Amino acid sequence: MKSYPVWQRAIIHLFLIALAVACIIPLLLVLSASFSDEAAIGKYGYTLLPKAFSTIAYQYILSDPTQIVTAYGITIFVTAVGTIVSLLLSSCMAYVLSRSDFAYRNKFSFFIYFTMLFNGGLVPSYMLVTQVLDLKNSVWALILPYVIVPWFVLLLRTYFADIPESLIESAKLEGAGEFRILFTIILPLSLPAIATVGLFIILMYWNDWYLALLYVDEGKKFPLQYLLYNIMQNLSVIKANPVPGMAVRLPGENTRMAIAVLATGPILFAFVFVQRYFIAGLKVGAIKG
Amino acid sequence: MRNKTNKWSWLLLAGLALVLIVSGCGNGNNNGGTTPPPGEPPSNSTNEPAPGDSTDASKLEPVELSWYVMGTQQKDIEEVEAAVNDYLKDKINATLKIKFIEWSSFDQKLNAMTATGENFDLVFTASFVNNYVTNAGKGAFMPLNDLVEQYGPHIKEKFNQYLGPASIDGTLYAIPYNISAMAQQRGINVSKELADKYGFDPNGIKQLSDFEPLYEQIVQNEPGIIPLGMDNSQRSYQAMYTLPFQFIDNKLTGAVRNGDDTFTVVNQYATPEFKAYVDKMRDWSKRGFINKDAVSLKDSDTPLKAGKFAGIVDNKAPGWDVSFKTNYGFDIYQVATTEPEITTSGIFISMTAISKTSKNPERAMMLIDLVNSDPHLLNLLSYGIEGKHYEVVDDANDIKIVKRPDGITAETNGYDLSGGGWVFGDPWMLYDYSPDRVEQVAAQKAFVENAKQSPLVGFVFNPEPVKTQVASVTAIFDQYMPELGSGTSTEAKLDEFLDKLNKSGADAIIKEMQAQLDAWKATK
Amino acid sequence: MVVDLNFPFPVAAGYDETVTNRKEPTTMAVPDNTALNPTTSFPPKKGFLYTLARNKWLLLLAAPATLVVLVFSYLPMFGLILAFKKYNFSDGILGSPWAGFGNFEYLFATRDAFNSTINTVYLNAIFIFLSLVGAIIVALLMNEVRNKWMVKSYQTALFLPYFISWVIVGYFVYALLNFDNGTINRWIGAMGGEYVQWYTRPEYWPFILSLVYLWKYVGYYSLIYLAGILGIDKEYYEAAMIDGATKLQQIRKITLPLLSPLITIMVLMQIGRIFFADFGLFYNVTQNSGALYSTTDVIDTYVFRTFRVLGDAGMATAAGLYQAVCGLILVYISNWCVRKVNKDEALF
Repeated sequence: MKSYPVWQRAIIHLFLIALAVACIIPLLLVLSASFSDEAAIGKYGYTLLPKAFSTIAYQYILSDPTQIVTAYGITIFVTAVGTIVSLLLSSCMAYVLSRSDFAYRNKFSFFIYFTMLFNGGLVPSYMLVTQVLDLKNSVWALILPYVIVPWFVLLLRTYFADIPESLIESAKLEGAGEFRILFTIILPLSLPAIATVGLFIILMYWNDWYLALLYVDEGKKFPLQYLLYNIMQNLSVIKANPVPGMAVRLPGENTRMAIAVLATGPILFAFVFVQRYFIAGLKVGAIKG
Repeated sequence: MRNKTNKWSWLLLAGLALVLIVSGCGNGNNNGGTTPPPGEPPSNSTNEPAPGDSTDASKLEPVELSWYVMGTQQKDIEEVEAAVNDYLKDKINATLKIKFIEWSSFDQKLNAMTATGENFDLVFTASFVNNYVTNAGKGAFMPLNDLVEQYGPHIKEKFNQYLGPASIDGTLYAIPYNISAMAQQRGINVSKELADKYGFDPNGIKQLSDFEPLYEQIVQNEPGIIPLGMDNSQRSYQAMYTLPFQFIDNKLTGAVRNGDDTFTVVNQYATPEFKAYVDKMRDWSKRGFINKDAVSLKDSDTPLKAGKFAGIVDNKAPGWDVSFKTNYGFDIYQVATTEPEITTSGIFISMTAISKTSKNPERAMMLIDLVNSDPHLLNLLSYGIEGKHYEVVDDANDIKIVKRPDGITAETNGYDLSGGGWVFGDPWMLYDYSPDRVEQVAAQKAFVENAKQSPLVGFVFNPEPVKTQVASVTAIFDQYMPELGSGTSTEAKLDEFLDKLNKSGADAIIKEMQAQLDAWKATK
Repeated sequence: MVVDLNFPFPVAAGYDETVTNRKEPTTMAVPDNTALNPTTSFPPKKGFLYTLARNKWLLLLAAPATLVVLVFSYLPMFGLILAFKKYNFSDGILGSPWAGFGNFEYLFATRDAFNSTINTVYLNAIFIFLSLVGAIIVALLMNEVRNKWMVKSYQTALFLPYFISWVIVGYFVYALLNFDNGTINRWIGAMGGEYVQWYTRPEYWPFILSLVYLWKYVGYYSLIYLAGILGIDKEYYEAAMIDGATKLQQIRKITLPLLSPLITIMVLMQIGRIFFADFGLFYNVTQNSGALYSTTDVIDTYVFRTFRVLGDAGMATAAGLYQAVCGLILVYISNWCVRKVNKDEALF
């Protein structure tokens, strides 16, 4: 389209590279620290390459592989099912909200948005899930509370609203019901939005440990993040409240870093994977207008 | 046609949903409050036979009890539960579900459970986790006075002198079973190696300044080592408890001078002793005795392990130096800075409570009684099954010395609390991995025996009437104390601190404390 | 991480309203909002039922989501009365005695307490502004890069900080700022200056926190705005270039105006949450250092510490209610302003 003087392009690249480096370095430091011996971290601080290579942190965390494997299983199930259900329901809602001819559009939008601000708090939510719905120790307790996230719904709404009304109208002329319109027209045209929101929902379910903390107390049903969170937090809590007689060897800094790596590593792949749809889909979006 | 079937399935879903809401709403309203059986006093709720006859299990209906303690989920928990249930069948005819909740989540989890009136039976409570006073105050726990009378003969035998101090306004809400940790002695650790090197006598310390010669030497001759390490947790101000006061709360304004029989509550931060302490800390920091980044250091673990700290402020307790060595790798002298004392928070160091929502409080009490009198049961809960999870090495004493089976480590063991069985019951009954344990127990017993009881033991301050001021004062404490305690503050900061305390209602708190203390004293 | 369901997620809209005019009259009579349209040929039936019937399919589509929201978000809202009660477990939520506004006092009782509100609002305002500007600049720059592979790499790199939990970020900031060994202090020392006790100097922290916030989220936000930019029809730019417009003019006249609906929604949503601080940032990056409270204590951290000490659910709920009501008022006003300018860009 437009060509650039080289020096302008160079500046842009330099700036972006600087930013990228600032963002990557911490991750490398985490990786390096996770593979370090702990005393080395105490002495040398965080370095790009471990001064004393050691896999002891990973050995400690992975010492009980069955638990980790089970946890991965739970997390994958929750993430997969949760993302599908959430995307489905959120898309339906978002589509309805995007239709300017929907009589209750503003009321429903407000209905959804209101929950972003007002929250009953821990106690009633806990009551609801464990007593009313009796979901304690059920995987559904890990899925359902997050199925509708107002942010995502409103985001999808804005994107769906971009699709020209004429398409919808002509579909209606051909006798299509709302369901048909949603699934055969809107969704295919909104791939980038679905991909983006899908990614965020995946991240949300993957990273959560809070629901497990509240609703799960059977070891077999712990999701991955909760397991890792516990290892991480137990270190600080036990240290803060030592009781004489507790002869427990406490692992340290390198373990915390290893936990961070184990927790985020897999999801990075998801991101890279989804990116492909993101860019490609955008081209579709650009052309469709 | 596709549309039609879609339509009907959606309608069905919507209909189901409506039904769910309606029924949910109905239950929701009923569950809006907590759901203990209305008004029934415990002893009437089941057909219990005459109390005191704990061996007549055949007369009892089988019940299930749940017990919440801190710990990590164990792989073989069901196996151990089965063994426990087998054992309990003949004794109290109850089955037990052991619920381990991670240390880090314990407070939140229990808070949610008690706040929503969830049904469970036994739970660990203390001053530092699942706060005893707060929970009792909010009605989370069952009053135990009668239950102990009827079903807790062994408890009375062992812990009688502590039941009174553990009561709040005369009502007992949990059993204080951990005598070993009740006595507290303040101290400062010093590395044994360095102490010996510079001729430091750990027994010759009368006051804080007696540490200075050693510290001076360390600063001059050992570069890179800080004599006294602090971090921004309570370590930064732990030395404050050396001051000659009976502290009513760890943070709040309000303390009684040692030796003051009139029990007059004063603002300890406004006293000359406190100023002297702050000045001394500032001096120490300037001379390099305390690490300058104390205020931003999250915890002292890493520097300790790396050998950067020669010592930290820490309570002195028998056996603690062994744990220290295990964790941080070097020997220490525990130097005492106060006399051993039993305070209220010591009494509360480990207790078992029965939830108000328990359906079988009598059986729960029987279990507590049993756990604290029957070593077999306690060690079953703490170490698992003999032969599978542990092996006996020496059974000359009641306190057997055990080890893990060959080839099994703490991480691979199916049931391994790593010595954390004290959450269940009397740690003096526990087996141990270390052959020194018998001596350690004897030392602990002597330690507690010699400890003085604080004149205020048993008094608990109820913050409710002044909770706004409590919130403000605590915030101010958090803001200023790490600096003041680690010596990185300026002189003006202390005045600022006092000024802010006054403005936030420190006086109101003191007045309230005095009123409550006087009322409590009158009942003695 | 604890999921903050209300964190501003990106709006990946390719919103080009001017290209397809939704208000274009068509041959199909699209019913508008008012059921009773005097120009239609339908005899006016009962308003409410009529509208209901016309929208029944859409309502049905929205039903499952509405149900979930009702059950999981609205049902628990009855717990908000805890804010006005002296909660004790025996009486439960409904039975506990009333406390009037007593639970709210601690939020305003002292200068420090009120300070937390001020910190929350002004720091959040700075964050909103900085992240908006920063993200748009980065997005614009990324848009100029020709090489697809480079763009993907930049995106991935810039997005990475989002994955790192605040606890770990806190460690890094500590590695930079700690007194003895911190990188920053060592640079200062190398240049002949004196070491600074960063964690006891509150005046530097608004700046430090803003920088950290930007670092964590700029990649994230820039993706959204980039998506928005990419959705703009290339024809505009071509036409502009033919007319001889410079890059900057193109940005000012085409890109930004077409992005404005997206920007509006984003900002509106964040305004509603302006009384809610990002707890992880304020608690972990400052190492919860008391000396910094005067500029870094926000409502969420203040409430958290109070709750740890008093365990009072009523007080915690009161704080949440306070934050929500203030935010609601603010967003309502903002939304109303936006509606005055352009009805379709409003949030509700």
